[in-house]
Amino acid sequence: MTEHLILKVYIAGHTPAAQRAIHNVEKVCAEYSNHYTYKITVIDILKHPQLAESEKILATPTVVKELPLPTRRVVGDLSETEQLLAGLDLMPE
Amino acid sequence: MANGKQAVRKTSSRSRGSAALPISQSVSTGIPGLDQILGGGYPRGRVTVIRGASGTGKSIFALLYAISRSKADGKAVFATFDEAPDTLRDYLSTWGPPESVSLLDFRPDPELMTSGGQMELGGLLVRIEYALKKSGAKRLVLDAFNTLFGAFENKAQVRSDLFRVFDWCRKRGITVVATTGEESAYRASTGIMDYAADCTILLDQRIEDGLMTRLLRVMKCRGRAHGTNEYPFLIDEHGVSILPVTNTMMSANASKRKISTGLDSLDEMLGGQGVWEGTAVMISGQSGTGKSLLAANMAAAACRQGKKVLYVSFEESQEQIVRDVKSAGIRLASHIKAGNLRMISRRSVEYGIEQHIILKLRAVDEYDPDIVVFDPISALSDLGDARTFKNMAIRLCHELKARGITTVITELLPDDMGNLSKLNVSSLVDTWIRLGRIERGGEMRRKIQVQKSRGAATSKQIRELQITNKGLAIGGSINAEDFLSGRTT
Repeated sequence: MTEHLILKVYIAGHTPAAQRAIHNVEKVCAEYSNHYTYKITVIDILKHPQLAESEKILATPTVVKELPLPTRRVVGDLSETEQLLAGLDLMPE
Repeated sequence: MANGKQAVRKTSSRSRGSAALPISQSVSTGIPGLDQILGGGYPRGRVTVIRGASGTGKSIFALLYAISRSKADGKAVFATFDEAPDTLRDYLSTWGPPESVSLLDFRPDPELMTSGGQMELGGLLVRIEYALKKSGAKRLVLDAFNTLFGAFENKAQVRSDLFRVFDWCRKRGITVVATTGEESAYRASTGIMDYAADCTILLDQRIEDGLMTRLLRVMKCRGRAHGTNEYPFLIDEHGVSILPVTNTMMSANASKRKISTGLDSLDEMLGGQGVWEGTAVMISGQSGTGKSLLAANMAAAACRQGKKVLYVSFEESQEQIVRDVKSAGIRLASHIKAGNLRMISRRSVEYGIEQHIILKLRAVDEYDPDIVVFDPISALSDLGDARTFKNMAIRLCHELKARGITTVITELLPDDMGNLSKLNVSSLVDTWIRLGRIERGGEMRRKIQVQKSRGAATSKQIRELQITNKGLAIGGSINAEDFLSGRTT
């Protein structure tokens, strides 16, 4: 049975770090989500400040794993794959 | 005086231009004494940084600023980096409706993971901007922003993100108050924030003899003539109370009326009709010479003349004083009942010297008396060295003089001091009444003399002060022979 993996990437404008973060999240999902169907949403808080407030986003880029629970967050350009996987609790067994 | 809710507005502004506002305009700090020290308040449309180690009261300053109702600047946005919003709401509710402040929770998540560098605080300005626009606020607080330097490794990035917020606010005329701790690990990073600030205030606390004194100093305020002293302040349920030290001194108007001491002969010795209103009178003498009785006599006489009197005792309770002076024919109870005499008893060791000054002045401002008695002021001399004590007495007298209040202080002189005043007061008081004892022939008698009285033709006589159960009386003059024989004529 497949589980849903819902990820949101919060960025503040399309900075080089933001582009890298989006790319890194996509890459990790493609490689490590074998038993998940995954969905990545990119949210630019410059355009949606109310979402930055409701999600209490301080640092950008931030990736939030909304599903499966528990919610996890990792900040940075997400270029260190091990930390990203550990942070999102997606480490393969 | 210093009620956090009484905001004093000096200037107002409608300017919305992109250029930073001239620094002469002010926004009330929510603390009247601090408004005075800063020459109006926090500089409008600028950044004020309040620095201080933990426990110095930074957040209280931030909260009082946020809650102070300001018509021109509307509500405030309060961004917290340390304290939980619920806790802050509790604090705020003691001073006003907490919903008048928009709280932003920027507390760093301790479990946040990092992957790769290149992170910035993109949410900081976005959320602040959003909250300011949504609430229409023109005032912003960043409370304990130094926690960001502890939570994120890239200090340069944190600094630049904070600078970005400051610059954005300056361009839009938002008045920012930002507080920061002084932990040594962060000082290198946060210290540089001083350069980004238009105004920097340092809070400090010192403990001497087990009593804590809080101190405030304005380190800089660009383009302003501000008070440069260290100002003691007090934090309690009223908020923050600060006394500007020197700037009220010269505003006292010379009095044109006199007030009777209640003793015709003493009034005459003082040049007739008593002492000038709004001046400071000191009664000094050793134990048992009648200082308190004379002070109480003046208090009762003032009440009979339709004046309001505040009587501060540092040694005895109200009941005790009323009973003691009644046995000497001085009646205070009816004046207390009538509401024109209020007595406060505070043991000197209850507070530090600064707290005493602030609390006494607050009592003065609440009751608004014509005359204040401090009996004996020398009880405070144990709370600091001689110079601190004298400074305290000078400030107290100046503050009262600035309010046009007549001050009566008594000084207890130790028996081994040869009747010398510890206060050495010629600069401090306008009138100095000295009491003393003559012990000869198995009898003790009291003497009274007017050592000085500014602006009055005083008597040079030394006379006898008689204490009877019908009241005080001034006897005849004592000459040199009588000194030796102990007789009075």
